[in-house]
Parts: sequence; structure tokens; C-alpha cells
Amino acid sequence: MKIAMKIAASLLVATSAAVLSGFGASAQETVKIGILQSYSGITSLGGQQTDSTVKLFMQKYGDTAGGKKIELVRRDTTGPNPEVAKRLVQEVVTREKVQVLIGPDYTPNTLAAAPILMEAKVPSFVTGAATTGIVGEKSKYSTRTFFAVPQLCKPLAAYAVKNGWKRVFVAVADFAPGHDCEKYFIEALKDASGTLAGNLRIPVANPEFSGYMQRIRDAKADALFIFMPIGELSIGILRAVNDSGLKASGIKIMGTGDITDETYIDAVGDAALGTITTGIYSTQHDSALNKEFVKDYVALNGAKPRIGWGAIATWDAMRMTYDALNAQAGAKFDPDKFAAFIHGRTFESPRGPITIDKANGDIVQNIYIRRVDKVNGVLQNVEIESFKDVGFK
Amino acid sequence: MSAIERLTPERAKAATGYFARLARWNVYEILFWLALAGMYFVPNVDLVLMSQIFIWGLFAMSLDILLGYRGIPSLGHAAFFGVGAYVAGYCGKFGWTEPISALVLAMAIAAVVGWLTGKLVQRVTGVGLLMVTLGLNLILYDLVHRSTDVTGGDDGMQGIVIAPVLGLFRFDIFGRTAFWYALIIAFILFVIARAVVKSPFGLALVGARENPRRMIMLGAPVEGDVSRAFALGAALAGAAGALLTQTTQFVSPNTLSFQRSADVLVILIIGGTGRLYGGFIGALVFLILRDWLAAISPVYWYFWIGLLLVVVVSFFRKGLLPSLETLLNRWKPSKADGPTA
Repeated sequence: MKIAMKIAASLLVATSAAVLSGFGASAQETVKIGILQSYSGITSLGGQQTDSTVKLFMQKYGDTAGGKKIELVRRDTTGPNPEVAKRLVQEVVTREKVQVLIGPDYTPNTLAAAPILMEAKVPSFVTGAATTGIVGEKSKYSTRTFFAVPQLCKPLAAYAVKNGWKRVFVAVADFAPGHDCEKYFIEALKDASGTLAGNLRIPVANPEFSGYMQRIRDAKADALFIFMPIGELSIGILRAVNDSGLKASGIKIMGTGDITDETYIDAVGDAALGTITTGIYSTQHDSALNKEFVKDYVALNGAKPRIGWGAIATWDAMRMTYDALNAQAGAKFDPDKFAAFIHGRTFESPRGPITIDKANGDIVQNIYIRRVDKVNGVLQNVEIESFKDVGFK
Repeated sequence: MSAIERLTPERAKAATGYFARLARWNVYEILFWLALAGMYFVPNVDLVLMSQIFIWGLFAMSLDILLGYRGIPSLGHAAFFGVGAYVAGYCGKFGWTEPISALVLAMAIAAVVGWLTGKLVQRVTGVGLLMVTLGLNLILYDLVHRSTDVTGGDDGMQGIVIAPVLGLFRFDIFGRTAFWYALIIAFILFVIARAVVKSPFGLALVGARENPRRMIMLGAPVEGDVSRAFALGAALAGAAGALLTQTTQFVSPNTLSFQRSADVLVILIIGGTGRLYGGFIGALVFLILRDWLAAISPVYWYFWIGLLLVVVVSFFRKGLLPSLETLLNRWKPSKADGPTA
């Protein structure tokens, strides 16, 4: 009986201590940052990368900015699921009183969340959705630190024609981003006076690539342009291109950086060698800032999973959040000032210089042409040329 | 029903009395709906989550008409949900912003799709049914997913505008309007579904579930009843889809996904089939747990959901609601007579 009383008493003390310390923390002003990413299912790598990056950033720069304590609220969007994402945005905005949001990821989630963020005046960072025009007038508190589809799809057309690969075959995944990319690439190809050798839309559910390889071979193109989402499909098509002998026939293989994304490229293996892609970031980028970023990231989170674009987009979002909070140090959090501070900014990111467009918060950045090479025995996207300050339209 | 017309007046009266008794509301039912409405006044309750619980509950109830009452397992029920969701989406996109009439239209179109599906599958049974319904669902999903120009494809449909309900209540960011709108529509449709399953038609469905051959010998239109049941189930599912589009003002192919068809089956099975309430109970348990687990452990919550399913299926064989009923009945000697529906 006595023991039971003792346990009960100590529990009571413990809970009241916890409650009191809770009060203690709230005495200092806090800023709540919501993180809405995919943490479960096949898209969980995105959330994992975001968390690793945020952890690194806060380890390096502390958990206060502008005199305010940073508090994180994480939620799982479960992938492209606007029903869940919108509800979570409403929840973290109205109940948790989140002041800044990193996410949600994916285009449908971003679009569904936009009216809420606009009405509640919550600045947000788009770190994982690439469709054109999803930031701008309908969400003037949003800032994109990822990329816009045209940024990746257009420069390759000019690059190919310049190198004498005039006849290009276009193969895209048969879903909205694929249709988008196809449109931009073919437009840019015409502008560069190249010719379209043929085009293909490949279904995203369990495609069998070998049949398509023959059609591409028959078109006798100089180069093949591929757009596939990161993951299984990219692995599949690069392997098929190699195994069918298409690559050995001398056709140039190129595409957006998704197909040789660092997080999956080891699964493709040597079949990926020589692939030319456009990208916003490579861990091989030659700058002091990037070398430091990569070294610290690997030291904290390990070499696997490898650093992808989601990490760099999150890093820059955190960087701007801290800068904007520091700029309004000592004052109450003001979302309008926060957004105004960020929009129109230019700064050096580990990926290279970036500018946030003043009018609509979208990103202007360098696009790099990269080639897959082996560096110290590891497949890497090595930057061989760059297009400066590519716009988002 | 023709069988009743040929009865003597006294027996006909007795039969009517039977259905009247069946349709009487008991105190638990009234308490259940009052409790749902009362959730609004609980401090710090997540109203948006509650509105989505009502929508999932309505959706699960629509599957209950097929699975619980007629014994038709469907793995493609999201198809009807998606049809309703997209119809409401198109209405909002092309200027028909009034929500209630758009909801009715969505139900009507979903009902037609459901009726046609019923015609197609009325002679199929068992595993064949699972395959056909799943196949129809996948075809529709792929169609919407790939027709980017028409549906917005994977990115979802942009530019949906929904006017305030009755011109008065705007869909706000706290989810107040969404809560009441979803609850009231779900309740009205529940009352209709309840009246249908407690009518001779509902009894005929249960009869065909238990013993189709005997029903045919009684002269019941068993096959026609299948397409009628499909039409009703699809209309209710379409209403749930339209509610989701209207309360979130967005629609994407996710509304048609196989995951949704599977989830609704799981919700119904957790709650219990053949009760109408099973869907709502299942939605309450499933969504609140999912939300709670995902908030405390964003990475590993799926594990706990899986565990929950295993526990429910092993300890509450028929689902939560029927198991609780059995428990109650054990204490209170049954006054149940006649068939239960």
C-alpha cells in the first residue's frame, strides 16, 4: 500500500514538473514550423531527407532565430493525397498555430493547401512540387525552393542541338508532370531548330519497357530524351535502354535529373554511365559551401541514403526562415514582413546561386548539365556545363 | 411487394406492423447521432477530421448496402466515390457553384453508373465479383489519371469554386461549415438508407444474401435487385465523394484509387457489416486512430494500424458493433424475434 502511494506521489510530482517546464518553455517566444512531408509508404524517403536536413541545420545554427525558439510540428502527408494534406494543413494552422510551413509535398497537396495558407497568412516553402504556376498570385505567402518543370526540360533541347544531336526522340511517363515536360521540351526543341524523331507516353503502372525500345531504335534518332519520376520507373528505363542494346547503338541518352537521382542511381548500376541530365543540384557541385554541406550531412546522417534534391530544397527553406526571423528580431512574428523579406532575395546556396522572384516567390537558379561518371568508384552526376539564372516559365 | 398484396387483410396488417416495428428508432440510435452533433462543442476538437469521418462513414455505409445487405463484396467501390467527386468538381469548375444541387447531380450520375455496373455483374458471384469491380475501378482510375487535359490528371483539378451553403455559410478554414454540412447530409442520407433497408426491398436483399435460390422460388426479382442495390450504393458513395470535393474544394485521382476501395472495406469490417452504423463506427475508430498515431509517430504509424486490424479481426470476428451487440444481448435476455435486418 505504502509503495503504491509512493509511486502515485512520484508520478504526480513528475507530471506537474513536466507541466511546469512546459509553461517555462512557453514564456520565451516561440515560432512553430510545420513540416508536412511523406513519412510513410513508398514515398517515405522524402520525409526522411527533410528530417535529416532540418536536424543538421538546427545542430549547426541552433534552435533559436531572431530571439525566438523554434519548435517543429511534423505530420505525414502519406504521399500525393490532397484530402489528408489539406486537413493536416488546416489542423496545424488552426490548432497548432504553426507560423511557417515547410511543405506539403507534391503538386495536388500544394494546390489543395494554397487557399488555407493564403487565408491564414502562413508563409510556406514548396520543397517537393514542380508543376508550373503553383506558387504565385493564388498563394502569395509561398516560396518555391525546389524547381519548376520547364527549368529542367527546356535547357536540354538547346544543349542537344548545339552538340549536333538534332533528331531527338521523346519518351515521357504518361501522367500530368510527364505531359508538361513533353510540351516544354518539344517547344524548346523547335525553337532550337531540332527535329522530333518521335514521341512516346509510357504508362506509370507496371510498364514493360522492352517493346518501347524497339520503337525508339526504329526511329533512328540522335538522342533519346527521357522524363520519368524518381524511383522504380527511372531505374527500369535506364536498365532497358542498356540491356536492349539501344545505348550501344550510339544514341545519346538524356533526361531530367530525376532519372539519375542520387538516391536511386546505385540501383541502376553501370547502365547509368554516360547519361546526360539536367539538374538543380549535384553533391559533386564544386564550391566550398557545398563541400561543407555534404561533409556535415554525411557526418550526421551517414552516407546512405544519399543526398537528394529534397535535402537541398529543405536546407534553403530553413536558411531563409532563419534569415527572415533574424531580420525581425525582437518584434512579434509578422507573416507579411517574412514573405517580403524572402521574395526578391538572392543568395549562395550549396547548389549555387539562387534568386527568389520578387513578384511571385518562384525560383530562378542555375541549371547544370551533368554526366554520370564514376568518381572514386561511386556513380555521380558530374556537372559539365551550366545555364545561368534559368527562369521558372 | 407482390407477395404481400395476395395476403388477407389481417395478415397484411400484421406484415405492415412488422415493418413498422422494424423501422422504429431506438434510444441508442438517437443518442448516437446526438453524440456526433455534440462533437462540435467539445473544446479543441478537430472539426475537419470530424467532417472527413462523416464522409468516410457515409461512404462505408454505401458499401454496407452491397456487402452487408446483399452480400456483394466489391473491391472497386472508390469508382462511385470518384464519379461523385469529379462531377462535383466539374460543377464547381464550370460555374455551377451551388453545393446542394451539385451534390444531387453527383448522386444521380453515380447512381446511373452504379445501375449499369449492377447490370454488368448481376450474374457474377464470389471471387469473380471482386475481380470485375476491381477491374472497373482500375480502368476508371487510369482514364482519369492519363487524361491530363480533361481532368488535370495526377496534379488534380484546379479552379474549383464552391459557393456558401444556402448562400449563408462559407467553407471556412476551421471546418465549421464542413462539419455541419457533412453531418447533416450524411444524416439525411442515412435516414433514407435506413428506410430502404427496413422496407420489403431491404428484406428481399437480405433474403437473396442468405439463400438466393429460395428467393427466386418465391418470385423475387433477385437479379434486378442487384442493379437496384448497386444504384443505391453508388448514389450514396457518389454523395460522399461530392461532399469531399465540396469540403476540400479540390479533387484528384486519389479519390478513385484502389487504396480508397481497400480502406473503405477495412473501415466497414472494423465497424461491422449489415448494420448501417458499422460504417460510421469503423470510420470513427479508423480515422481517429490513424490521425493520432500519425501525429505521435509520423514514420511508424502504419505498424500500429496493422496491429489494430489484426486485433479487431481476431477478437471481434464480426466487427466492433456486432460484437458489442452480442455482449449486450448476453446480459439482457433477447426480445429479438423475426429476422434481423
